[in-house]
Amino acid sequence: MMRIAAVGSAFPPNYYDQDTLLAAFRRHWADRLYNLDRLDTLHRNVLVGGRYLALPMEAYPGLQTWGQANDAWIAVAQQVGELAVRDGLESAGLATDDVGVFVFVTVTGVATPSIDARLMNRLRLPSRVRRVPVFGLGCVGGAAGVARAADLLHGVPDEAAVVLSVELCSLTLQRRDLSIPNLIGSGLFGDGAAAAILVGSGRASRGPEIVASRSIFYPDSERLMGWDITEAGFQIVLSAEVPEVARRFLPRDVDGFLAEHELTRSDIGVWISHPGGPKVLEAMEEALELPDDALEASWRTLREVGNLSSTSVLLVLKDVMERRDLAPGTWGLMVAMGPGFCSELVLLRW
Amino acid sequence: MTVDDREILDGIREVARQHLGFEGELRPEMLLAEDLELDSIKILTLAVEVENRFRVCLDPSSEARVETVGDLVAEVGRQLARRPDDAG
Repeated sequence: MMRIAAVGSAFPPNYYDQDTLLAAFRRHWADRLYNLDRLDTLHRNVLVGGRYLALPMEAYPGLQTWGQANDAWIAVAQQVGELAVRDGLESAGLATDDVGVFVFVTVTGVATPSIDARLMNRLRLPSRVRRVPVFGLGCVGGAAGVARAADLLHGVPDEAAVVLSVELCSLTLQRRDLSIPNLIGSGLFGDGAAAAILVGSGRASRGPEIVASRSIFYPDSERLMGWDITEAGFQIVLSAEVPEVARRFLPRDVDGFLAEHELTRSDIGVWISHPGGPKVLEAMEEALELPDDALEASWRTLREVGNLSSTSVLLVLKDVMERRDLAPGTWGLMVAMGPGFCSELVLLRW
Repeated sequence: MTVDDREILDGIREVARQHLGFEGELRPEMLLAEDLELDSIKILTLAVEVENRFRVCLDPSSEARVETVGDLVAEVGRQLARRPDDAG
């Protein structure tokens, strides 16, 4: 039996409210976007109040190449990654020596040695640690990371696992790309890190038990979400169909998964959903027929820091674990969707 | 259809080709969603790029009524008429 003992988080020190960011984007795109009110509308529609950025705003024009942006990513990913892991371990009452599994998830930068390897040094983690760097799962990566780490903890009840997600979305933004997905992304995505700390049955914890997980892949939907790789770096692919896919498939998949555990949606006391964006959250609320406040933590995370891809669902989990006084026995469901297209469900029990 | 409308239609055709990869024939009666198979992001792409090309701002309150290529031509024409200096 695995439990999530704690979730740590860390953000870069550069926070900007949405109006400040919008004003900067208006200045940047003024000569190429005739109707700048479009940008206002897109930025306000995502209901984000502000975001952390990996670098101070004035540093971004100096990033002229993908290499420069990725170098900044490697530097900041280590900084916030280290802080998030230390925060998580401290909250869990664990030391670095306790870690036996390290899953690192990202979709916003590349590094070899991977960030988890670099953090082995910075955190002085034991050399026996089984590391799994994961690139490409996108928004589903936080939930999938927890599920895969739980798989790795089977049979080693005395070990702890770190699931670290670092996403520095601002360093992927294409400043010459005026496509609608890129304009939406410029208003939606933020930067930060979160680290879920999992422990096996040999360690005491009051955190939720990871009861089961389910991966669901949707065939022939590769262009719904992802990156096109260009000379300038990652170029966002985002389809208008994403909310419709959530609406169409999540009820079937959630109900099927829960039924295997003799549960229904009404048994779920707490929903821990990747925020995505307002349209996705609304689609989930409608399709799953959730109570009005069921996705409150997801809406709050979206409003406070934006969409942080794989990091977001872990921030929602942290919010729930710290704010809610959930009675023992309460069922929870982590839900995330991402490139593939696919979804990941993780059943929790407090 | 006036000559000006034909020029606008040609401009929209070029925008659709360049930004949406649409290579087919573009006729005024064609529905943006059904015939051109444009989803909400693609319709917004078309609107923004048409605004960039003709240097007009489409009226947000009339966007819901723009269902066909011809509706879009008319809306661009209306906005161009409001800016006689730029109407060419």
